[in-house]
Amino acid sequence: MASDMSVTRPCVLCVDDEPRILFALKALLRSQYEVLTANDGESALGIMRSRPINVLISDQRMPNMTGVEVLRQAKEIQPQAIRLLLTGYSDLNAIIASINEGEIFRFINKPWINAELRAIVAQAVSAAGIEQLLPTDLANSAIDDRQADGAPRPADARPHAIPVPPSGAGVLLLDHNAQERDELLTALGRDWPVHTASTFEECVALLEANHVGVLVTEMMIGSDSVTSLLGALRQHQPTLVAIVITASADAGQAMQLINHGQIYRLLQKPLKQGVARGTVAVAMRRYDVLSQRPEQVQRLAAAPPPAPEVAVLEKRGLLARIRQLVLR
Amino acid sequence: MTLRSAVVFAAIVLALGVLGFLLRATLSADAGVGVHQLRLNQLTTVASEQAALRAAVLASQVAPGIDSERLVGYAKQLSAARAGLAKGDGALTRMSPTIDDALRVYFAQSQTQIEKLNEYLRGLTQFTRAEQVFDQAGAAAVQRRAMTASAFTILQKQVRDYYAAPSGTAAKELTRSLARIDTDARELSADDRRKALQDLGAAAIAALTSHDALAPQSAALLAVPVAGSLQTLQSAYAAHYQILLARSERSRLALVIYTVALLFAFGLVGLRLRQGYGELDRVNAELQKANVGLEKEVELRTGDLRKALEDLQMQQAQLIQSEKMASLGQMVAGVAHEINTPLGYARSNLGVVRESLPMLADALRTYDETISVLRAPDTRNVAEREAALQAFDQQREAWNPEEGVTEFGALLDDSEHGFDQISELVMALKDFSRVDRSRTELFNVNEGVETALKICQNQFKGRLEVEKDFAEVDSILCAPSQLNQVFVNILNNAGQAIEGAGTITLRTRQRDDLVEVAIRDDGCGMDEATLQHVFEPFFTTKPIGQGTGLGMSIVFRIVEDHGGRIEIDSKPGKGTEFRILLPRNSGSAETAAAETEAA
Repeated sequence: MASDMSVTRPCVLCVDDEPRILFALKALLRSQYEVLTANDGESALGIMRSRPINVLISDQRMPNMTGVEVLRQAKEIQPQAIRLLLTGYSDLNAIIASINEGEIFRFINKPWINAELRAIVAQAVSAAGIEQLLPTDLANSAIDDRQADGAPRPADARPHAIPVPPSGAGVLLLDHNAQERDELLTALGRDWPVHTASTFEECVALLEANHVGVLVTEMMIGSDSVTSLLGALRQHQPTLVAIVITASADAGQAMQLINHGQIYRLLQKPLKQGVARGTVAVAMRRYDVLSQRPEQVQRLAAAPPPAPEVAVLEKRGLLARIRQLVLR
Repeated sequence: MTLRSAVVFAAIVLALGVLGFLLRATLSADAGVGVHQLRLNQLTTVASEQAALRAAVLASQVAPGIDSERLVGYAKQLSAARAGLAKGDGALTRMSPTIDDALRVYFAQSQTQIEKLNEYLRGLTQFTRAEQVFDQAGAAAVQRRAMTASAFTILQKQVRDYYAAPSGTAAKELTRSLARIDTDARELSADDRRKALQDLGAAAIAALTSHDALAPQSAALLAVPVAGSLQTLQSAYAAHYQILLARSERSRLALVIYTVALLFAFGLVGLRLRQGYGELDRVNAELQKANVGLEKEVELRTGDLRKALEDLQMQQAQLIQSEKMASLGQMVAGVAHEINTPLGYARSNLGVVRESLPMLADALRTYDETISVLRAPDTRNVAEREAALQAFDQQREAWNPEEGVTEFGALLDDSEHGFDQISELVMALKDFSRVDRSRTELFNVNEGVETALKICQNQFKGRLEVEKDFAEVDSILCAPSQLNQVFVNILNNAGQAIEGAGTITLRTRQRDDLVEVAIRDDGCGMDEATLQHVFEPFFTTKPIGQGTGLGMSIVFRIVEDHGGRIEIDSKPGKGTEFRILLPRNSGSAETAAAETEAA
């Protein structure tokens, strides 16, 4: 009977240098999942190389290998697996790295609430159940990575590369600073149709009127954090891929951007044109996949934004418009 | 400056000297007025005495009765008056060459006059004697009746007239009378009478002869030009006095002119001075105005400066505060992680246990039901018992109480351990802050280093090896919370200096009266330039925004306030050792605590 369950039940791998955390997670999750534990990053990656897992939960602060490093390598070994960062405290750099390099699904704060953790793990498991599709060129590069690793990749974890024709979608720049906006415009304008907005209202209006695949936005628009807008967009228009640029983010904001906005990248200023172009190119291919295979968005499901932030948008009349947006 | 005042002083002395000289010249003429009067009087006296003598001489010729005694008296008075001209207050000598010459001439003539006078006096004496002889002869003649008394009286009168006017009728009459006497005498027979008469005639002729002899003598005497030379002297003196007077007048004039000039000069100086003072007043007023303006300006500037200083102090205080907050924030973040981990599993475990309680309750209920079925006296049927037992087995299958309770124990053990961890950390925090203790107390640095290490532990965990080499050291009187901050700051720096794995060595030693705390890392070390600035406020090697650059300056201040010092050994690439040397009793610990608190 136990062997039956191991086949059917999703597998969750927990990494922490504190064994009591692992024991607690196991006690919490083992009724629903097969729970594997590792005391450090190396042994966790070893497990991942030997067998497929659905969800990886990693601590950030660990000796020898940080959580971000574990997540980054785990993404290469098993891109299919959903990654969660469980942390008591992390500096901003670690969080940004975990977004951009670890492409994590959620941040979970220690101490966690059992019900919430269960819910997040459940979401993650369901997202992991969606077969990951990558555009052809991305898949190729992933295969190259694997060859470089020299380690065998579990067959069922390999993402399926699909040929994706470019959708011809445009880029929307949202920044109240005209100079920075213009710099980005020159950087991106050659490769994609670029629309520019300096307020939420303009942004929503442009989304209504144009075919937009990637939203590149400054973290702060005037005095408003873009988190609420991104949360609402993610909730109702999940195919839109968001890149956030910031000069001074704090850890809390970054966590919100992931947990409620599922942003694709968080870039820090000063931003080089090449980095901007490369990031937008990758984001655009991701959009192409998402728009042609809508079920893929489940892998990027975000938690609903907190009520007060939604209320702000509602007051400005933006929420209704976002709901009715039809992304072409 | 001194040269100028010397010149001014000399000019004033010169001006006053000239004034004094002129004044004296003017006054000298005035002072001579009395002497001048005396001299004039003397000259007048001499002239009058001279005139009196001359008159007496003339009278003596006419009136033979005048005796020579009187003439001598006059002569003596004249001599006395003359002596006054040569000697005494009113002397005219040594006044001017002209006067001296005149005086010499005059005195020579006076001498001549005296000689002539003496000759004249001798003649006069002879004459007087002849006269007496005449008179006696007349009386004898009358007695002898050679001649009548009346005839003799007439003869006498004729002789006297002749004296008064020797020429003219008197002489003719006298000649006739004498001829008659002579005739008469021849006529007389008596010898005695004739003789008497002849004697009388002879006496008369003798008297007339001596009288005639006087005339050239008196003429010689009167011919001495004393009056003229006196006149010359007088005029010489007068001329001299005129010159003196003129000179005095001239000096008076000069004095007046000089005085006027001086007054004018003083006036000019006064005017210049007045103008100078006016200018000075004006300048002074301007200066005063400028001064007031300046004071206002200075006040304004001072206000600005004070404000700037206050701002600066406030900013510094804010910076120190923000550094405190930053390191506090860093510390809190680290501690939060340290607390969140045990809190995480402790809470989760409790949740799991609680969630499992319904299953425990279910199990107990199943057990109860099973037992009650088995115990029933009228045991129903086998099927019912079987059913009960099957339900029991199912229950155990679903949730094994033994396993569950064992797990509960493990979970609760972990929770307990987590809470212990948390309380230990909280205790360390409390030790670190010392908020519940007095500010200054006896403190063992070994404990302080341990506490600080606990605070910093999360930074080092897994990455860094910490070696402790603690010796028995004296407790020191200090502000423990501040020293803890020192240890934490240096430990943090040491941890940041090491990239990747490394070792931090903590050593405490007793060094005579000093307690030494050494914190060594084998990190990147510091170069000479960094070492020189390491305690300077706002000096930082961290990227902008990651450090205020105040941490080490706060360390330095705290140690200095405790009367201690810090030694640093550092080599780039090799590592750094901080040695904190603290005296056993830093008298200023209390004030140090207060000051740092205030800052």
